Amino acid sequence: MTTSPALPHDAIVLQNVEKQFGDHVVLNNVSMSVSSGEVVALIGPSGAGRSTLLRCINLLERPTSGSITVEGVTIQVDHSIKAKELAALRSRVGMVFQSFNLFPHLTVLRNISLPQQRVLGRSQAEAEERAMTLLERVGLADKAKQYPGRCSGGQQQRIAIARALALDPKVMLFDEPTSALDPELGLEVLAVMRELADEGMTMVVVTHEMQFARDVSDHVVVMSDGAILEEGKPHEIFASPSQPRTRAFLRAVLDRQ
Amino acid sequence: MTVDTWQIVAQGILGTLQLTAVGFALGALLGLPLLVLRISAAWPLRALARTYIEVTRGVPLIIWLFLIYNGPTQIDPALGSVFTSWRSAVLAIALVSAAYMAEIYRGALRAVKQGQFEASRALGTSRLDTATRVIGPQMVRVAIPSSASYAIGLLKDSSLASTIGVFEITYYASVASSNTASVTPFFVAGIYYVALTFPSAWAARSLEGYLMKRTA
Repeated sequence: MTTSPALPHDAIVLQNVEKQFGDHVVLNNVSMSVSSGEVVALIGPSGAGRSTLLRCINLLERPTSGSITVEGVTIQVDHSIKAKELAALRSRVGMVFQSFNLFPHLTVLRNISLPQQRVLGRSQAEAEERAMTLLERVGLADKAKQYPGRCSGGQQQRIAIARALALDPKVMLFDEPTSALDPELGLEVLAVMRELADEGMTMVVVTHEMQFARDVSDHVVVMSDGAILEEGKPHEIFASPSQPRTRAFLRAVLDRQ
Repeated sequence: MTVDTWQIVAQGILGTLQLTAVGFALGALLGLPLLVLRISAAWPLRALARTYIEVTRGVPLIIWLFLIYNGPTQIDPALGSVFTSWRSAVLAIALVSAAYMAEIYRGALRAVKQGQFEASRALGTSRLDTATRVIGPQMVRVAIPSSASYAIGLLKDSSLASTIGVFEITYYASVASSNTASVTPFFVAGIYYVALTFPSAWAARSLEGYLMKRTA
């Protein structure tokens, strides 16, 4: 859909991001950057801080300290954050949740068109046209007039992806997008994500889907205990992890099958 | 039981309906700003709302009726023309319902899943839009059953307004009863109250069913 720019640039830069809940340190001085068009898989044991890190990128979670840059908008979290900066940053970032979080009182079509109208100021006709295009893309045009409760989990998640894409984000964040789904339904979602990656969307994906991490991502980041353990090309990380903790984790998830 | 008794007591039906409807509508409206204060980030506002809610609910409605109807005239007898029976009753019911409705709204707010707020924020929706387009409509669905049973309770509690001379069902029943030295008018009043609550409960159930069907 969007053509990636000729020269890759830093789409996301996190610098010294820390997050504490009271005494509990969830993120310990994490820095990372994601180039435009890159697909980054965030893997590691549950509780490692992957979701928290992802949620810091669009400031759903407010870090205790550090700075976050997304497509040229920088937010220093120790200063007070202006509503305008926050809106600017969030307008560049789409997010997909583990539990879909579609709005149950709106039809599938309204779920996708309403945010376009309210956030981007598009007309209803324009927003609905865009919504239908995206629904066709995720293979659910026939569900437009249904309510989300009538759709399967896999369908709901594809609708949620369409809803996020409708706002033309530069970056897409996925927080365990298939964890709440049956394996088969998860496949439909992964197919849509793979397509998105092929089209050059910048993506950060928190996942336990190792196959996706290995085959689709350009870069794998392994987290444990609130810090980045190691990162690199998927084949390097999967073939020869340098950290014993990574080895133990990969053995646990890969030898399961 | 003469036709006359039925007619005399029936004169109060409109009064009961008006008192309940206007009082409840005002309360439902006032409950919204009260909810906003109750969940405010600033603790003094929260404390203020909480105190209002606890005090208002803690004092029986009949006491509020007497206080509002008789209180002002003690300060200045001329206020009697401002605080008429009808106005005092509407005000008392509105103030008390506001407290109850704010708590019903708060329960409804808590019933909306956290993910709904997050999704709305992540999409960049403004706070006002999040409240009115995303969270509010979901709260309405949750709040309808308890609001309806509160309103139906109010329909019966509005009978207390007869004590300050509001022309509603119970008022006419007591007048008829003392004139005829018979309990029949109260029997008639009871039938009228049941006749009014029945369709209200039915209407609330069908509204709820309608909204549920649209989300399923």
